[in-house]
Amino acid sequence: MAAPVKLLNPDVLREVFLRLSKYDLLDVACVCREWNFVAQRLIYQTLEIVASVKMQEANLHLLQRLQQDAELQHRVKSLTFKDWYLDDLPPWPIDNGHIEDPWMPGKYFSISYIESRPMGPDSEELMLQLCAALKMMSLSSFTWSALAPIPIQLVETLETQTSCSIHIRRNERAYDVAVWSHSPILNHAQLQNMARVCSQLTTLDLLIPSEDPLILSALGNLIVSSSRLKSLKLYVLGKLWGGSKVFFVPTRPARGTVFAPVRSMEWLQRPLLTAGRQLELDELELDNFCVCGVQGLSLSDITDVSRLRRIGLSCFSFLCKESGPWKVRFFRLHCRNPRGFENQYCSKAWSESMVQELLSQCHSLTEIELLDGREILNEPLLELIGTELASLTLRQTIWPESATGYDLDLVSRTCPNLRTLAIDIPHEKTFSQFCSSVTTTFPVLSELSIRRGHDGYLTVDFYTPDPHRYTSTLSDLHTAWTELAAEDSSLVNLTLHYDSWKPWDRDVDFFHTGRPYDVQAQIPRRTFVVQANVPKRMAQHKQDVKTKCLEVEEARRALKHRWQWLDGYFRGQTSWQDRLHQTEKTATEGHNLVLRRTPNALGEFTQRAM
Amino acid sequence: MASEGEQTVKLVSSDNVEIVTERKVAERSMLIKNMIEDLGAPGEEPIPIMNVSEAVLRKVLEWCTHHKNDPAPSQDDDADSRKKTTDIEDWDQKFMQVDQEMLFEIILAANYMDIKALLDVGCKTVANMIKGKSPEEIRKTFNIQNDFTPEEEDQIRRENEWAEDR
Repeated sequence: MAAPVKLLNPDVLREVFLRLSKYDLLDVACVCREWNFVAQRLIYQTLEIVASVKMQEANLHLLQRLQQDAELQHRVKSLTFKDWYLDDLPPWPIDNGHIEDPWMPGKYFSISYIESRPMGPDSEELMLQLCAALKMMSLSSFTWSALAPIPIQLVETLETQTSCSIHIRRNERAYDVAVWSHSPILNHAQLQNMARVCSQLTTLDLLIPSEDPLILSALGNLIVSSSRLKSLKLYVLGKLWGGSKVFFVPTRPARGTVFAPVRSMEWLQRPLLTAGRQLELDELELDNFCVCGVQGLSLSDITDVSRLRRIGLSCFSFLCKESGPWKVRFFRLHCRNPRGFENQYCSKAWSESMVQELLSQCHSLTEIELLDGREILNEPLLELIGTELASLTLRQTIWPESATGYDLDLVSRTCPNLRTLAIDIPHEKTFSQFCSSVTTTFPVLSELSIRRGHDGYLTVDFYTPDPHRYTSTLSDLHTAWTELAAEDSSLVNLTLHYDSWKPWDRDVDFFHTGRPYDVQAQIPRRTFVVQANVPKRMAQHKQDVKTKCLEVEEARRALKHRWQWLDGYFRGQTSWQDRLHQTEKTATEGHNLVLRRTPNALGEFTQRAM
Repeated sequence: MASEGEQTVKLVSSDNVEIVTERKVAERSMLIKNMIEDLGAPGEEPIPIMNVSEAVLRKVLEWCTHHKNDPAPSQDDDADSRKKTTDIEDWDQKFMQVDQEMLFEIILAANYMDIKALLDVGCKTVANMIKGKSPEEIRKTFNIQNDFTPEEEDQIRRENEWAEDR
């Protein structure tokens, strides 16, 4: 008798395979001829390539096949370069022992800068094959998300394929790497390259230097001439206060620094006005832009607000003049005025009630992310929009008495369909206790992600008989999970971020100290993530939990791909190999050694915990 | 006149069994919904569901009854929800705990009767049976014969090497 699986025809098999990851598809393709036929078509629809020493041979083989196989050329619709590790990224140039001012004529952020570093032989070979293959294909979409800027050879080839849309996406490590290399940050040379393919640009997701009027105005012109642009995400890095000239922070560490957002949208409004048009964006995210001081600015002057599906801001003044109804599905507001930097970050000329009013007109909102937004998420608002909400991210920097400033009981009562919750808690709280209370409050939650404050600065209360070690490790996570499983929660994914250095803290540290090496030293201490999940098919057997440490996985990947160029840029850390050992140790054994001292004769404890 | 919610329709399975069900339940199927609209007089004329046997049709209608009040899914959800294979609600998960033959029959019926949400749940269930398994484990799960020669298998692996960047 034939196996029941033979009932599934190719159409239905395709439906099933659409719900699998690329890695699962690779296994599926080896199962049998019939499955191979369906799976291969999905695998080759979207090529995602990592250019690294390890992958070089496989990538060249693929590109050569693409040049020879007409059927394959036809099948590939989209191509993504996730990373390009074949060339080293240049560190900040040093001149006479000092970090060079990158705004000097001919330097990285100046208009006269020319990219003159030659490609390495591996890069050159891959690029040659890539361009040859591209010329024979008819791609509908090309994505570049490597740390290095998109190479000119590639731009020239894509330029001839006018129907191919181009997505420039910020690499997920761009922010970290900007601490020691300029490459992930926008400059004039990149702008000129992108301008050649402006009619094809669909996504622009960029890291930009603050208040460089020339770069901003060139960017404004590029955006306005990109008639296909659907997604615009800009993250501004701060600047240094340095007299009449605008300096980027790394250049003048000795002087006083200030964290400065971009405070005007004229760079974009003016070219729009000249062109007599409005953008038609689906997604808009502007971080470290503040328009509180701009009179009469309305977001509709910039883009057709009714089209927006996704919006992320660090200043709500952009939306003060807008009214609904809106079709926005995702809303993020990260406005933080750090202590000592009030009014330098966002003047906050808006109020929580304005945000509430606007959100109450967004009837298709399914996802909200807020920073210190407990006043925004009040009862009347949640009663209006709660039933649609599937995902909430509740970040916070100001710690109240309880674990969270957000009213979780209220959220659970008003958001019956919430599946994903990400929340910040202070380090004082024990992790598993909090998990357990959250899963009791939200019985249908399937994903919970918890961020905790710095574990590194743990102070130990010696007066309690058994001081807690608050550091969570993989085994703590495992314990928490086992406890949760016993309580029959519906959780399938539990993530714990700890010792995290959140972007807004980094913005401030980075630009406050102005000392790049201090910031570099912080990198190994960035977010440390451990995760537990069960495949849903195992949901009845929650003991089959898988725990992993994402940082360990990244370090392993780095070793495997030989990201040599990251070695040596970190102080006190010589290689990825070291980092892997260190991270593995931390993940399994915990961060801090808590030394308990015995009290002296007077009953005092003279030494602090280490 | 009966309100729409109380109206019933007659469905006829491929093995010629007549099943009477609430119109609202049956209209979870776009195929039936369109047929009712074409026929004009719901409830009188039996609607043939050619490719679905009685047992499967009853099972499908059980699902439709449970989900009869679900809001219509919006169009642009598709791409996002597809990848989230873990996201199956408890009732659906229990509903899908049937033998493989029934599971595949339900999927085929959902496909034929055009019930997107049921097709989605079915495909997710099968996808979850595949996830994280080696080819040999997958073959075992579904009782599939390996019809590749070792050379062919080797060639597939070589050709797909570029994608193994993990």
